[in-house]
Amino acid sequence: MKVKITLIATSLLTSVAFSNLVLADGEKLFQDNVNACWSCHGKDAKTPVLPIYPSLANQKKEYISAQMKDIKSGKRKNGHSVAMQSFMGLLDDKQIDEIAAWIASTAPAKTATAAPKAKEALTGGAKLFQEKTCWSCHGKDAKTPILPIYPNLTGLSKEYILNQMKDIKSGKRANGQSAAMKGVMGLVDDKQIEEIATWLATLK
Amino acid sequence: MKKNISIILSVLFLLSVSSSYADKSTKQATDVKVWSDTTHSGETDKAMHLKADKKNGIEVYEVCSACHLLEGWGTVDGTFPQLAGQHRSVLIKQLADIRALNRDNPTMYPFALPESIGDEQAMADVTDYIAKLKMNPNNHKGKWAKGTPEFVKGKKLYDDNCTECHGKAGEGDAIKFYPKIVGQHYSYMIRQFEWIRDGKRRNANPDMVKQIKGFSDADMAMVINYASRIPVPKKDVAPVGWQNPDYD
Ligand code: HEC
Ligand code: HEC
Ligand code: HEC
Ligand code: HEC
Repeated sequence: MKVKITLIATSLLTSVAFSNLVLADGEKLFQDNVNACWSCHGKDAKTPVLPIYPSLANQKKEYISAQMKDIKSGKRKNGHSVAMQSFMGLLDDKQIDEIAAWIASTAPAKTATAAPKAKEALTGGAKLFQEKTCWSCHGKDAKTPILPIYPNLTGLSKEYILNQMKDIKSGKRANGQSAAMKGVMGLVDDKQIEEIATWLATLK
Repeated sequence: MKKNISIILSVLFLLSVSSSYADKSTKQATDVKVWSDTTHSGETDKAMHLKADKKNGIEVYEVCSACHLLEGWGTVDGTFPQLAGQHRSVLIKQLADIRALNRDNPTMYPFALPESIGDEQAMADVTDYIAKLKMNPNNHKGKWAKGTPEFVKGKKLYDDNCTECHGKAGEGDAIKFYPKIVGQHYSYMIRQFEWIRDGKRRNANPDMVKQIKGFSDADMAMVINYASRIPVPKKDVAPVGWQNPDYD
């Protein structure tokens, strides 16, 4: 059965997409019409078609690659992950790593932001981000994660951030290193989550 | 052209369903077990014998303070334990155990990794700094005040079962890696005690596990109530409202 599907797929593909498949190059794989990454995440990986979809451009390759593998295997199935899962089947680990490396290479040069001091008086979402431990893992500027397998939180929309925080809190998103964060989510209620998301979404 | 693509896409969808069964064996980058391979208990000894640098200790501790607070006092709800005043040997052992995945603590895990905390020297610096911090004057206490029957029963349970290792005054023993429990938050200790009793905290001392096996939840509440109410020696405790000046 599997062989048959593969055969059909291959014959269909040869005409249009064959060249794209053999070109083992992260950018090509991202931009082609087979994997269709761009159709949801944007050609530059940072202009998603819907605000509930993530921009990818600020992430490190370790994080990107881990998330792709988790979405492919179904370990990450929260939110709108299934929309993406159906496109992941064709990619092997090597291609995933190539795409991840390319996306990571498009990241804009990091602009230095003055990090707030431990006792600096902050307000609103910024204050909560400091008080509720978030910065310890994601960095004071929300873009210096402590490990490369942790996400940068800048350049994302409020809708996406809100969804992810709620899903990690409730356990709907439990892939990868999510358990690390779940341990502190008891510290924030829905209103505070909203406040933090509003603030994070202003960071580019 | 557009139609063509959508046909391809739908076929690819089918294909992906079948191929997703085929990749069970691929090693995930997220498999943290790999990180623990490089951890050995030997580094614990090494960190213990290095001379500590206070300035670096302050620097390393800053990230810890996000959860354990600048004063090292933890939180009264027990989410984060007090670290201030804990024996250095105990701090080092716990960090090594967390790092080696002998003690499950996913939230703390990244901070125990060499990638974030640094080498043995950094471990020595930060633990020395923490051990010298003055303790929380207002730790979370159980609900039974001195004089209540539950307090009295808890004291008896404590004297009969715990002093051998944690000491009469909850002071622990630095040389034997027995933690200081005086001044620790009730809510945190309850969680740990339960996890030790039920085998969830895997790095626990087997003799302690044996000692407390027969403890009911009620016994547990009473003995920890007592432990949380042992007065912290004056010389070790900070004034109420003290703020850590090292971060001004
Ligand atoms: C049909 C739309 C769609 C397609 C096609 C798609 N994605 Fe996604 N992708 C999503 C959505 C939606 C999410 C977020 C899931 C959620 O709601 O939690 C996501 C999440 C991700 C993430 C995790 C981002 C983060 O911050 O956690 C990465 C990395 C990613 N996609 C890369 C890719 C790559 C590379 C491709 C092409 C191989 C691709 N995606 C194709 C919709 C898509
Ligand atoms: C102990 C470390 C840790 C702490 C503390 C932490 N996080 Fe996270 N966070 C993570 C990790 C790890 C992930 C990614 C999980 C994975 O591997 O899939 C994540 C993911 C996220 C995401 C989704 C990002 C994306 O691109 O999908 C958001 C948003 C987020 N965190 C916000 C927060 C906020 C706000 C706080 C404070 C209330 C916080 N985090 C505290 C570790 C942490
Ligand atoms: C994101 C939050 C967070 C950060 C940051 C953090 N910890 Fe922890 N730590 C915890 C939690 C939660 C526990 C308790 C876990 C449990 O209940 O078993 C803990 C427990 C500990 C323990 C064991 C205490 C005991 O009494 O057994 C030590 C030691 C420790 N942390 C040291 C550190 C050091 C040193 C740092 C900085 C390098 C640090 N922690 C940073 C959350 C954190
Ligand atoms: C045989 C020695 C021994 C006895 C008896 C013992 N303990 Fe322990 N206890 C330990 C050791 C050792 C640890 C630390 C385990 C480790 O290394 O992770 C510990 C850990 C703890 C902790 C967690 C401390 C922390 O900071 O995480 C609590 C609370 C505790 N014991 C309470 C008690 C109480 C209450 C009793 C009496 C009912 C008791 N113990 C009896 C040896 C003992």
